[in-house]
Amino acid sequence: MITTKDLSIALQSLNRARSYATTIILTLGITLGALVTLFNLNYQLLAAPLPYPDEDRLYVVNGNLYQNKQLRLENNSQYPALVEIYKNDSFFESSALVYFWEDVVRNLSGSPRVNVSYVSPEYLQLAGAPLALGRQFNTDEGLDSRVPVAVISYQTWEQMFRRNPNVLEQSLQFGEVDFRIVGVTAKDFIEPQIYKQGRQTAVWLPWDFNDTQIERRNNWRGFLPFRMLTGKLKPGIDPASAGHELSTLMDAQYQAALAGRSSSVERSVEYRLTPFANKILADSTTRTLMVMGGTLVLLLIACANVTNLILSRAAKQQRTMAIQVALGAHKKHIFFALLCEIGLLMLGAALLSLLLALGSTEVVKMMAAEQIPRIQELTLNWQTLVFALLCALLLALFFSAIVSRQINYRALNQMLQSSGKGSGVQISPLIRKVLISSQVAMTSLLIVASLQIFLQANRLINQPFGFPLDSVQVMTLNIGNLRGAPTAEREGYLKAIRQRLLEHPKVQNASLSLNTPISISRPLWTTSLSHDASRQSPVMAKTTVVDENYLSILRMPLVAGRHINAAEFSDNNRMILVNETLAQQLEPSGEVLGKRFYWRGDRPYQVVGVVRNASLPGKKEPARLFVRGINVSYPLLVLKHKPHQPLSTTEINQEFAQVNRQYKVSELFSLEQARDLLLSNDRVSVWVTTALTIIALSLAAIGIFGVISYSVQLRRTELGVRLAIGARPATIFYHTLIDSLIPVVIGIALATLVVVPLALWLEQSEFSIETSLLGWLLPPLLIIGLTASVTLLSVWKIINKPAVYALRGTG
Amino acid sequence: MSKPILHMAGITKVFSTEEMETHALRGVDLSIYSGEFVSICGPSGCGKSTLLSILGLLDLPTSGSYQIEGTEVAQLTLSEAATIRNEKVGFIFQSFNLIDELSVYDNIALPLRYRRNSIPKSEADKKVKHCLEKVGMSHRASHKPNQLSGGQQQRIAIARALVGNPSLLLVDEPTGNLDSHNGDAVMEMLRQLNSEGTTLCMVTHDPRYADMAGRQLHLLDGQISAPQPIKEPHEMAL
Repeated sequence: MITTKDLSIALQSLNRARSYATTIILTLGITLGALVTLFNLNYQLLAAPLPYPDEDRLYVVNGNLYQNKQLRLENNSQYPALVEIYKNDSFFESSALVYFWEDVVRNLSGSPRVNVSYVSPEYLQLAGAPLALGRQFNTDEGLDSRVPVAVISYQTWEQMFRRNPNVLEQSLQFGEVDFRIVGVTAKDFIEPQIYKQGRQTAVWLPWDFNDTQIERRNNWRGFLPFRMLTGKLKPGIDPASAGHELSTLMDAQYQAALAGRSSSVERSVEYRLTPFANKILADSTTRTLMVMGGTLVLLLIACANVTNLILSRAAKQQRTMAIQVALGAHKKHIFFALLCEIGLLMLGAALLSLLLALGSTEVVKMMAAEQIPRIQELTLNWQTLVFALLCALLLALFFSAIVSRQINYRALNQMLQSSGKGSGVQISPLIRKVLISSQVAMTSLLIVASLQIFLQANRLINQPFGFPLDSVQVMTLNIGNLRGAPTAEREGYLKAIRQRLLEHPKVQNASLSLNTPISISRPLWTTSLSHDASRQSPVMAKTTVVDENYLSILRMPLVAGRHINAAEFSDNNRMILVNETLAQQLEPSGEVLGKRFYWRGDRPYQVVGVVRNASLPGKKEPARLFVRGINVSYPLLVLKHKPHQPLSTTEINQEFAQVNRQYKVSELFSLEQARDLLLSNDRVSVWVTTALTIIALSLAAIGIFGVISYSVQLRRTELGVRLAIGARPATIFYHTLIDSLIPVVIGIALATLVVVPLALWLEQSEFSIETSLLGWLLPPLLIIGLTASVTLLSVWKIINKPAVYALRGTG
Repeated sequence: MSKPILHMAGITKVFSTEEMETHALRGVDLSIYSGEFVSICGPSGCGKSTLLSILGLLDLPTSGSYQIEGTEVAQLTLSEAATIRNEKVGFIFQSFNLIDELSVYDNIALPLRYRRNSIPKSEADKKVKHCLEKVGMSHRASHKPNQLSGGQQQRIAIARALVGNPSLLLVDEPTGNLDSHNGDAVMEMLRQLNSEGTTLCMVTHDPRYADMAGRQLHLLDGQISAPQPIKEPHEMAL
């Protein structure tokens, strides 16, 4: 057994070999730290329960629309269906309506845009929201009560009210309604991000005040995004059956609403129950698990390095071991002595890894809040602590067993009798080759994977969009209390706003629209085009309402036809433009110019132009339809400003105020910002893969150098002999390199055996990874170059000095 | 007298550390002529091995002139020194210095593999076999060095030194690791080689073997102290 004396001796021994101990603790501590961080993150994502009461019974209900059994609209619900499910208490113990939106606070300076969630009172109760001040919504503020109250988040209280303790007496104005603040959620409340990763609600308002128009609230044929139902399922209810029953009920209502409308298209609705966890996590764990796999490989590479270091130290300690054996130590005594020393090192590495994990967790929380769900909940938990210590224990046993196997107990026994000659511990050539081969195989695998992801992400980052992005700003408009104003009046305001902006000295052009090809927060509007009025075989298209300036501002070129001119805009001409994808979907030949298609109503629209496809990174260009018009309910303005003269929100709001003070900028971004947001995951991929590649190569360089320099050291006299009989330095280097390359080539071959089937599988899988030849060839070339460099470094002291030094075994 | 194979003038060798300088050789003047058998004796630390290393271009002198067959070699690059060593010098070491991983045949063939102008395989094979025959070890060609006795290993070392047909054979304590029987046999082999025209320069502690040389040099504190007259080969006796 291990005693405190053994530990004390091991500690003293390590104290005499500080650089050895430091190297091992740092190498393993850093790589284990990375693994522990990723374990902690993946545990949080995959295994840690959600911080809500009865989280396993919490579900989100969303609607899907099918046409001819094909999914046409996903996560779009009928407003009355949601209300009916809310009122139906057959399946849920408690349920809540929720609508995620954004609005402008009109009574605060600068009219800040905030994330607003319209909810029924049960929502915050379902989420178990603790409060810092005040109360949650109560039943008196439920459906159809129209009580203007608000609950704000802790961040809103901090940022907008500087934690004013009298905030409950204040109000927030949205549109023309003043909402009295009745509660502030606690700092530690983690909102369930069931709508979008990273979205934090600033203000919760009663459901009644959501901006859905009155006629839509009772329309069973309308499908709306952002609105959903959340609920706690009654115990024993099967969510799939509940979804099926709800779908049947809602579909019956839908079919009744469709009754009397002539259409050959078969339509149906489905309401599906999705667990909170699935909604919140989405597919985020694929990436985090892949990065964890990468760090595990890094740890294995580091282990190969450490194995070499520990074996070298054991070789140096063989005289001490021989004395112990001469004094009667058994093999197990030698093993426990080794285990003590290695165990202390692993404990040091584990403690360092936990420290690093503590720091890196905070870094990850800061850097990946938008990319990784539940990141704000992340803390080092006891599971992570156990994982780190378990890793350390397993590593200690592994290293001790490896060294123990290399000890020739009999040779140690005879060592002292033969005046210290011979060797009881030596890293055998086979072990040296295995160390190099395994390191090279793991490094190759990691670098091949990293490089392929890096190249793909880099390709996406540098991919041209198909239209220039510079000097274009996009803004969504909040229309305040004008939602109920006549369409013509609102259209007049919007045209006046556009005109004012066109006259602004910084502005070159302005367009009223509904969307841009790169959308930050606004989902694209999906409509359908048909060849005939009966709407048979409709073709779905992402639809944008545009004016005559739209395409020229975005500099989207036409491949055929022409744009709709200003005169045609003022006339009520039924003209449309399509992109290349839509043209091909409408007519396989793509020849659609002049042809007429049915969009809305009974009169056809004529295609006057075909717009070249945009090429958004990593996305297949959808079918796009450009329809002339102005959207007065959800207007969007696109500005082309003079170079380097972007407009601020204040400047734009001042222009709006000249037309109507109700108009406010809700969201302002440049197309370049939109691109950066679109590419943020790819940029993270570039950083992560670059870091993994550099660390893997560095670890491999250290490891291969360690093994090769050890081999060269063992061969020192032999190389001296070769030099003595006339081998030139270059010849010695060449032969040593060939010797070193053999295990390297074996390692690369092993990696190839894994990589080739993986690549074949990837090509046939749903992962959209485009592999590149450079990504396959560069890693082996890098590793061979690395091996050549470390071989040269290892033999340099021998070949750069007269042969006699190597022969004598001196420096 | 014919032109010397090698000629040294004022050769010094200083080993420097941070604390001190050690003068291993202090102005050695030496010429060795074709067919000569020269022995170098002296107490431990007198500079014998250092002198032999410089003679064999295994080390560079600190100062002085050193010519082999009329070519100045004192300040050659490591690569140039290796080429000359390979073509003109053969080494026999006290500890044999055979490479364990290679067979006897491959050990002997090794100098030929390092030739600047590669030798055809058949010719190399002929040379190796000839040398094996010469040292009476043909039957051990495929053995590994660790399967041979010390005396046999030294014979292989001699064969390896001879295979490149060098102008000069440098021998460092050839009997140091052998019993007297094997030592005598090796010395007889060297004497035989000399009688056949091979030029030899041998470092030894053993006065009995030193006496076999045509000329004995005594090295003391890095200087040759007592040069002796050259003996004709027939005057040498075991």
